[in-house]
Amino acid sequence: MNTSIPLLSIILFLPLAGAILLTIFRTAGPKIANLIAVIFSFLSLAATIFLGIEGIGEGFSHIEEVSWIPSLGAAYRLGVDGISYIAVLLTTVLFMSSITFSTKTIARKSEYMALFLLLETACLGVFMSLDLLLFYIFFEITLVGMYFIIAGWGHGDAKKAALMFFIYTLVGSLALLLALLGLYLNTGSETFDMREIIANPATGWMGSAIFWGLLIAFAIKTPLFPFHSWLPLAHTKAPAAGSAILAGILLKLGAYGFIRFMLQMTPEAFERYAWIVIIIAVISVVYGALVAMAQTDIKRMVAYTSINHMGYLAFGVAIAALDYEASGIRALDGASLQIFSHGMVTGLLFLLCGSIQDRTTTREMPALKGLLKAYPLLSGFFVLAAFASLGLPGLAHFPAEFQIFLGGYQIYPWAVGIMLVGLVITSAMYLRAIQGSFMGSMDASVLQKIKDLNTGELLAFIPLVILIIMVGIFPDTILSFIHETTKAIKL
Amino acid sequence: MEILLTAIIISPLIAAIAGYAFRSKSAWPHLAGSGISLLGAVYITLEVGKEEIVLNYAGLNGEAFKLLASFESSLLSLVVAFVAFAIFIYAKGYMHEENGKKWFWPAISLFVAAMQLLVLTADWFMFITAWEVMAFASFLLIGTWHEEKNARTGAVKAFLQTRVADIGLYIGIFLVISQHGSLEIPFEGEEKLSLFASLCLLLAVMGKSAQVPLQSWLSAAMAGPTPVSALLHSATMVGAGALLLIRIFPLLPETALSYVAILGSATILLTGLTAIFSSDIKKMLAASTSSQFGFMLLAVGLGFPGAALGHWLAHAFMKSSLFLGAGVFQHAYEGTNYKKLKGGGKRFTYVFITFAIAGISLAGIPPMIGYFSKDGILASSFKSSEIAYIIIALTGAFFTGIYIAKALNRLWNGHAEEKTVPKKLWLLVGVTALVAVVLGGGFILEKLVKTAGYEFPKDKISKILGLTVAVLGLVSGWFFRNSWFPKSASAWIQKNYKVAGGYRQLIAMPVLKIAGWAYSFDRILLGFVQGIGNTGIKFSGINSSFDHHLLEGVKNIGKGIKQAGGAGRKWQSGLVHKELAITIGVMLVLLLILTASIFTI
Repeated sequence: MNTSIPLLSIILFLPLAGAILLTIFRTAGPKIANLIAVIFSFLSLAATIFLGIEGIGEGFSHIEEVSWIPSLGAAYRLGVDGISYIAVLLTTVLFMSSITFSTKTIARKSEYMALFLLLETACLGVFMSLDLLLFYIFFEITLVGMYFIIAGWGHGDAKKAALMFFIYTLVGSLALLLALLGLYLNTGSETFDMREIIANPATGWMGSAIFWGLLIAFAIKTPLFPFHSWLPLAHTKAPAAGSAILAGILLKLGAYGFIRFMLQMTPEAFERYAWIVIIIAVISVVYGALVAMAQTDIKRMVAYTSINHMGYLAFGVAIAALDYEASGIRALDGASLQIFSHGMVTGLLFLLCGSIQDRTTTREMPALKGLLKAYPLLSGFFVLAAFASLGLPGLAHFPAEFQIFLGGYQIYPWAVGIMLVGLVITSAMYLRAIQGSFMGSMDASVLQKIKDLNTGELLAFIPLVILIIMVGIFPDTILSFIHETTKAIKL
Repeated sequence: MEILLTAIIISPLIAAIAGYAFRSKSAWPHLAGSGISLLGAVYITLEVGKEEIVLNYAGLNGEAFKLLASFESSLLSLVVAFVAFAIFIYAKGYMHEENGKKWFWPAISLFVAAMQLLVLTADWFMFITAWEVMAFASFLLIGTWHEEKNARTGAVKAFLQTRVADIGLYIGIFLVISQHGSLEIPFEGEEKLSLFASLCLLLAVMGKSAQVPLQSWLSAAMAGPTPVSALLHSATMVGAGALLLIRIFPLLPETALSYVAILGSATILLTGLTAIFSSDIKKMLAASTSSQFGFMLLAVGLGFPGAALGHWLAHAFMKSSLFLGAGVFQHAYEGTNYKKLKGGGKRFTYVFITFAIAGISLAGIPPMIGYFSKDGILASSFKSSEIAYIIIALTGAFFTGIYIAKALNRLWNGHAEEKTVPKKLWLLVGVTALVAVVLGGGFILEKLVKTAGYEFPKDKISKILGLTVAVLGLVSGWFFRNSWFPKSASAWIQKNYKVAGGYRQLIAMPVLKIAGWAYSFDRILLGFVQGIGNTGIKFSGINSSFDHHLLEGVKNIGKGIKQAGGAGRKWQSGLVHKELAITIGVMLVLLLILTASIFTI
């Protein structure tokens, strides 16, 4: 399984290399900046696909270990299992699309692209790290990168939103840091090696304390009700590609944390408090859908659906914590796949919102009319993505949610029942939007240009669309990586 | 062989994708796709007599998805393919001068592909997929002319009403899967389902097959082009519900069956009345569809899925012919209200004759196919020897006669202008193909149902009584006038028994209101969070002037760096530095707290 080439480091640092190149050639003009960014994000994606072809296996593989701060027990440790591989794949795909999407209109291109590539390295680092300290560092860099993207290239009063995002999630990071220190001290052998911590999970009151720290940190990041206030604000102000990354990947850091940390490192406490997570998850599902329904800004509406979808995910992980062997594996499979599906679908939706915003004078749905007539391709993609997001079978979300519900139904039937109602509310919400803003005759007064999607946009969207359909019809292409790992997990 | 089996599903799907990708108005790829699908289905049906064909593909967690061509499923697939192909031919003519071809053709091909998948699949995952993709496709199709408001609302209503009912499908299927431990659809079952699981699945059937009280989406769906209605009401969408019921019949416990029968009975009567009082030919046909599916539910509920299957097959041909006929009149006289169509039958005698054949077949007059299938249903009720069900079934048959004769009367009497319909040949070919089966299919219907492995009930008294009520119905229908009844009553029945303002008032408005409340709460929550932030700043003891000086200082340092660097970085304003300073400040404070907390552990 382990080759002599440090494939993970290559994937991890290719974007960073691109970012450095961009800083060196920052005066070379936007065309060169586009080219460098696209090439490096593509190379990283290609290497990730190569990694998948080579095989992942059930435990951590492709491990790289270089000593770093031996006195602390911290080292540069990388490795992936099925779940983190899926997250890495998502990251490289979505960054590639977001960067391609941004090649057209963005100002200060080289800085922007460099920030994006830096952010990509940070996100990849989070998913690949097998060392708590390394994980934490990458985790914080993602925050900083996103802060500058929102503040620098956002719409309107973006600074305030960026700051709110930064501080709110930083509070979460504080809880995370404490929890990580707890994990570090708990092992006894004083190591930051995540494999060892997973092998000797925290128990007793210490486990509970750590669990609560992690729960707060990741519930803010994911986000779950009632810790979500930063999310709609940040999304409304962020540039389209920034939103896509924020919802598509940064939220997944929280979701990944639920699985890697809470489930694997504090399983006992998670089992004890799973009912609380389930209640929060169920509320998030219904609440997210309802608040989304009340929105008039199309981008804000999509933002709120993330809360709804992350609710399903958290529910799936909590079910896995309760009864792993019987129904938990299915639920965890679903939750892990949800990471990928939600990244693809919501990423696409946010990019499409950006395309709409570029072509119209407003994002307010009551003012938007007849987009299908004006931009058939763009609207066609939006309708597809919207139906994927409302969980239409045959598209990416369904295999994930199907497994979460199927696993969860054995233990918490009432919760699944309520969440299915959430599914209907989401359907109603998207249909209202489609009926009001996309169907009907077009209202030229709010449309600026009459051109449908350009090549850059098409290149950004089509891979996502293909993946969304592929996961819907052939879920095993992605799921087999996950299932291999979840089968082998012992809680 | 496996390739042909997949071709049945894939070829319309490819047509749909190609049609969408190339933004083409042409009908040819779709005709080709559905033609190949039909050929595949014919071949498979002929071959499958020897042995069943099973095809495993893809899968979920290593458990493969399955296509199964048994005699039953390939027969259904053949019927779907045939009806679809005839409707496609018709649609080529029908859509010739209509808008929205780019939208219509890919959607209808997708629709057919989904139905074929539903018929042939043997695992629950793909079953749900087909079930819901079909709902999506019907949403698109009903919304073909989305410039018009009732097309938009009709599309949304169709999707949402069936989606609500699908909660039942999901829960029901979860229960079936957990009971059987695999995704495979169990066609036989030793162990019966629980009553709860059966009722959940029944809810899904109600939504899809437009049973009371979820029937109103069907008449709203009339806003779509007529070929869509023809397909939706016959071999697809609505048909999917009854098929699910026929499939899971072996698993249903006794107690659940009586619910099925009662539901079917209520639908037969209520929607039968709606059809009678309708003053619009398409709305009449829509209500009639619900009523006829009520018959199928009744038969299943009484323990005779074979009779239901027979009526399903017959109804597919009858209802599609009726719709296609109505579509010709609709085109000629630009409307579907009886007033507009008055006397149109005399101008289009051929179409009128086909309409009449399909109509009296639906009423149950021999030797048409509907006589045989309706007889199976009536015989089931006689076999059950429950007097109530016998009366309901006979009343239903009587109602059928009334609404059919009423329509024939309105089409025939009165004076209409001479009109021409463009591309008439295409229209007629489509109608003729379907009516031919209505005329001749009855003689092999029983054999087909029996070969598929079902019992086809027969009864002498039911034959005589059934024929009597059908004739009585037709005669009284010819003279029927809405004015015999109080206006308010007939209006209420026409509107599908709208209670307390209907779904909009009862469900949609309250949900929107709750959504509004949730959003207000969300804003309060945001205010609360910001409040905490502000208080935090106050308590941090950094007074504002100090803060200001600090910021200025950092800003100056920033400027210095910027000048020294000389790179001319174009930050939007110096504000970024302020933000940075705040960030650094906050980080420092946090670090302090952190360090402090570490020492206290």
